[in-house]
Amino acid sequence: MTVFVSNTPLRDAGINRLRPRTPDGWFLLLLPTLAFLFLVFLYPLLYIVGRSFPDYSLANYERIFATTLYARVIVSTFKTALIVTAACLLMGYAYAYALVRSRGVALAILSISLLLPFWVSVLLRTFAWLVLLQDTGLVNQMLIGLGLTDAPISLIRNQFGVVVGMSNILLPYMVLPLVAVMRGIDPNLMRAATISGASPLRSFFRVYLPLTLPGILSGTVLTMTLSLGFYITPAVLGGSGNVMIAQLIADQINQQVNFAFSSALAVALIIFSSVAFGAFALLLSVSKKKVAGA
Amino acid sequence: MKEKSMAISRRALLVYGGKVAAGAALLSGTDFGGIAHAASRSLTIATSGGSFEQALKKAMFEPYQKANPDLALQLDTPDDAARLKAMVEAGNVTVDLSSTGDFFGLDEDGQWLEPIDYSVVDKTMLLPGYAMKYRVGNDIENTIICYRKDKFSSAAPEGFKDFFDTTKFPGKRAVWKFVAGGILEAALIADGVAVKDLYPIDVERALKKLDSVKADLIWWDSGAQAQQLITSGEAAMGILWGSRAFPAMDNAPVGVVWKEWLSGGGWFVVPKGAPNKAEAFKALAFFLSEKPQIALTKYLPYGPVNVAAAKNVDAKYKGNLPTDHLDTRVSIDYSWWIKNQAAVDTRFQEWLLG
Repeated sequence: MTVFVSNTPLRDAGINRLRPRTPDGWFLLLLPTLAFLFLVFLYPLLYIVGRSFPDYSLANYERIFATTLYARVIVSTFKTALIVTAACLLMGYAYAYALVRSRGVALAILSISLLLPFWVSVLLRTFAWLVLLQDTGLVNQMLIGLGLTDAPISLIRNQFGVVVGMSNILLPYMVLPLVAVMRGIDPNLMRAATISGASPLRSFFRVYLPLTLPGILSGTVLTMTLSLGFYITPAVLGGSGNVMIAQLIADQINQQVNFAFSSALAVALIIFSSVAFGAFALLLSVSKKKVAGA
Repeated sequence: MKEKSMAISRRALLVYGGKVAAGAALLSGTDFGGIAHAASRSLTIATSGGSFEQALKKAMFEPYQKANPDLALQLDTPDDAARLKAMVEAGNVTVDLSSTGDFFGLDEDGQWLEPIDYSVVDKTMLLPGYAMKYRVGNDIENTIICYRKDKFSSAAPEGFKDFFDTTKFPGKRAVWKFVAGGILEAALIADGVAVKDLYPIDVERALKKLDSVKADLIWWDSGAQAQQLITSGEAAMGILWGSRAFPAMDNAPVGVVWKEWLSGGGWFVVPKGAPNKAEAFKALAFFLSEKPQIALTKYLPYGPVNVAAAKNVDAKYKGNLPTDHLDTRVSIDYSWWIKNQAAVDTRFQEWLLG
């Protein structure tokens, strides 16, 4: 609790410093970034929104809801993204903790194992999983060779394969923000909790976990956002039942050459994601107030 | 004094700039042997890239460049219809000639394309059906059943009926996840529909037939994936593009079925407003003539559209070219598909989702 209280005056001071009474010329330095963002991000986005309403008609949006197909795919997209994010959080939290706590060779090994795959193409890693996990793949050959199973176990073309492949690719996006936050935590705080008589479990949940919340948050939002738009990994490692919305958008562009409808699908994804993240942020601010008020 | 030095430096800049431009031309010229020409004519051709581009380059583009040293020939990728349409819409067409698949360049696509100038391209040298208003054939392609010989040693599958018979021929099947790629036609033929009665497609009947083997189907999205499924033995059978089925034979015991095969084509189109369309038609007249068409059969397992070339193909794939089996082909009706694809695809995706 002391943490929240002692932070408050500092934060206010910071805000005041960022809001100078007299405007100077420094904000002009932002202009190139703003122009860049407008040109390559905002303008194309607005163009896509405009494109989804040919002749100001809502027909493309009606088509999305005319069948249950797109609703079901959007639901399954969010489901997959949630599972992947949860898997990354569980694995990534422990990994980040170990990384922050280690020194020397262990630190080097942990950092390299995290970052090296990060630099290898997503496509390559996805196909590597295919080679490992397919019916005739290494894992199944080993299981059959050891006599653990007679027929190959289905490890791909299902939800499992998609989650394995996507978590592998997205893990660094969860670990890196966590590491950044964990690095800044004063180890004396945990020591103080122990001295004050808290059990290790209690001091973790009451002291360490709340302090890492900003890292958990940015890692979760980053992983979730990226997984919602995943395309190649579910296409290669998923089955016909594990379609993500990005695959349908790509089909509409590549196979059906229907820019307007694919734009409408993309806009729908943006709206659903914004609503989901908005709800998440609201929930968070409510729970934060609760914590601060307690 | 100051003005003069400015003028000189500006001239120096122009000279330097000219050298850079010449250097750039030389670099782009390296595609075709690195000879820098005083190029007065230019032509940009888009293809899908990869091995297809390599084959066209060797059979057609390089000989044409040799015969026309003053032509600056540029290659570009990809040849997606989506990209061409976007170019025409934006009024910024940078491609003069493009290869394309069966779904683009039909008579309905006039708003995006220039009509083929048949006063330059000689219609009479082509097989019937390959000289259309907005597109002209380049090669005859195939989608074909292939199977692992080591998995079915006693009896080989003979057609789509066997492809759907998982009791007689057990194992996974690799199929293209594209509704208009021939999978519904294959299902209907396996269900006893005569080839002449395929269209309009009875979608529900086809999906019902597909239901009977759904658990054994592996859906592929790219040609590389399809080839990998067969060569690794992950799939015992597959319906693959010929361009992937025949290379698969080099690495695994793979057989193909010519008794029933789905035919498609590779085409050329000229986008509307192409800056060098006259050059494009002149080049086409050469590409579709006998010699380059024969040369193409040396590099790709595709049949030529040139009548004389079809009788005179290279020895490499002779006997395994679509033009050697025209009597057993099942022609996909692309104009039916263009009209119905969106609706049937929605139903197909629903079915896939289960």
